[in-house]
Amino acid sequence: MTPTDGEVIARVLAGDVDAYGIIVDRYHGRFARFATRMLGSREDAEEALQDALIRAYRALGAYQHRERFAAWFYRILVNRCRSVLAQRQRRRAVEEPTADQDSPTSDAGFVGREQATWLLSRLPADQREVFLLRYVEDLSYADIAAITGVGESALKMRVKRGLEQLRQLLRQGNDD
Amino acid sequence: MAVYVVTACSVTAALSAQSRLESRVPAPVLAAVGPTIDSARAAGLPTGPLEDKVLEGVTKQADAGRIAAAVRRLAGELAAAREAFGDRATTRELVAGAGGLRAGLTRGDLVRLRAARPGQNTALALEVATDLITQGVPSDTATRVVLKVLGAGASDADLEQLRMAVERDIAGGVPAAVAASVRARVLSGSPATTIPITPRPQN
Amino acid sequence: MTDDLPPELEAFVTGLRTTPSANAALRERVLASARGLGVPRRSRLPVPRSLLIGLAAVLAALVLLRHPEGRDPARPVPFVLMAPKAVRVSIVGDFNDWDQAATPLQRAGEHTWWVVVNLPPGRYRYSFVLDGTHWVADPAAPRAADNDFGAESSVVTILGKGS
Repeated sequence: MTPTDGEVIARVLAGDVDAYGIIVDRYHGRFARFATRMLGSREDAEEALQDALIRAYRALGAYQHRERFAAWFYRILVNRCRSVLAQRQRRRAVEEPTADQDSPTSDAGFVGREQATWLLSRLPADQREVFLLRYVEDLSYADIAAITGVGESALKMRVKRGLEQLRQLLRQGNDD
Repeated sequence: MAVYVVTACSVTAALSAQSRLESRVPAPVLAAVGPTIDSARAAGLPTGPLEDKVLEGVTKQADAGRIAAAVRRLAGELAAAREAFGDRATTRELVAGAGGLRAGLTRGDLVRLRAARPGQNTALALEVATDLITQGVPSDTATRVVLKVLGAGASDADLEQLRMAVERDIAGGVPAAVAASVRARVLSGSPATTIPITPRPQN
Repeated sequence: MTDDLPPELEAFVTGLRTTPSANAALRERVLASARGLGVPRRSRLPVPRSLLIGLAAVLAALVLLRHPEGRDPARPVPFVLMAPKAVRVSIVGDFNDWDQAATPLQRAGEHTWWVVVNLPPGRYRYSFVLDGTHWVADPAAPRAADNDFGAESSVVTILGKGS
């Protein structure tokens, strides 16, 4: 029978360190997806994810089972992604697709990976974050509020603005 | 793909400390306090007390700005205590010094209290002085009283007894400064005032 | 405010949902780090049951005072609060990461709440939380010098060996 997250964590805390690999395997896809979309770079995302997985491992003793492991881990991962973005800002490195790049052209209705990355990069980080958690990771506003520390009404406002921005960008891209 | 080589040696105390916060603290708060904690760590100040302050603020549902301000203030107080005590001060001494400064002790008070017990951990003396102040004893009286007791060779137990005795006296209605002064006299072994006893007439 | 996904964004979001392939190298680096770190430490302080039972008998005498007991490095320290109207009470402080769920108090009779916490010598700031929302400093302990968040805390000092 597949062990639950709680059972895996109990095994790790009882001394079976390698059992943490079950958690890594179980969640890598989802967490790597969020980090990649958030940071716009697979390389940065893997680095942030690795860092978050190690931080979560070290904090397993403090994990209280009051919330789902995924929600608890998302909080750590969101923080790491924010740190990466803050570092980028401090270095003033242009690692996201640049503002003066034209939108990649697309066939109507089809959004390629390059264009998707570009579109997401146009959103402010706080809108991008909640947009991804809501529509790609399918989390509830209650979960997102617990992860980000932002109230639900503020989250919904960010989603609304993000959706408007994306629709406008898509329309502009399709008009080109 | 960037090579990210991780060994047990490369996982620093900073990583462990941030794990403690990251599992409990929302991202906006972490972003607000991170620079201060990083700077404190780089300056060799203890970050445990700063993390405790962050967790306290989060639990008390303070906003990120308020938590960040509290952390900055505490970091400044720890730095001031370290400046007064020197690099060999223990974490507990620095925290005690920071608490004393917050309560109203001056830098000079910190230096004098620490010098009163050369070579020994003086955190408790600072803590007792701080507790006396928070109970209403004026800061100069608190310093004088603790120095007096230390000068008489007081142990940690004596200091704790001073604190508790003053607390009881204040709870019983004695003015704080008077309670502190009187208890210090007793504990330091100052000569008792002799009250002449007039013999009662025998009937 | 409805936040249904606009139809023109559906294809966009569908594309975003593809998950990256597994990364065996990352997995191995994480596990190598975990092996090097060893078993994570639990953060809760253990309170032996026999200790709780034995100390319950002396609680009334310890309501107003804080005394270290014995000369062990970690001392059992009782915390007591009169809170007749509270439904639940917990203690938060430097010794439990200010975590409301970590150290709940138990009722003794109608009005009294208590808990015993093993604390190594040192000084700890703490507070009681009533029903998750109401902060109360310990009336039987000194106040902390700082009040950064609008709710006062208390301090307890545990003396070390040989004090």
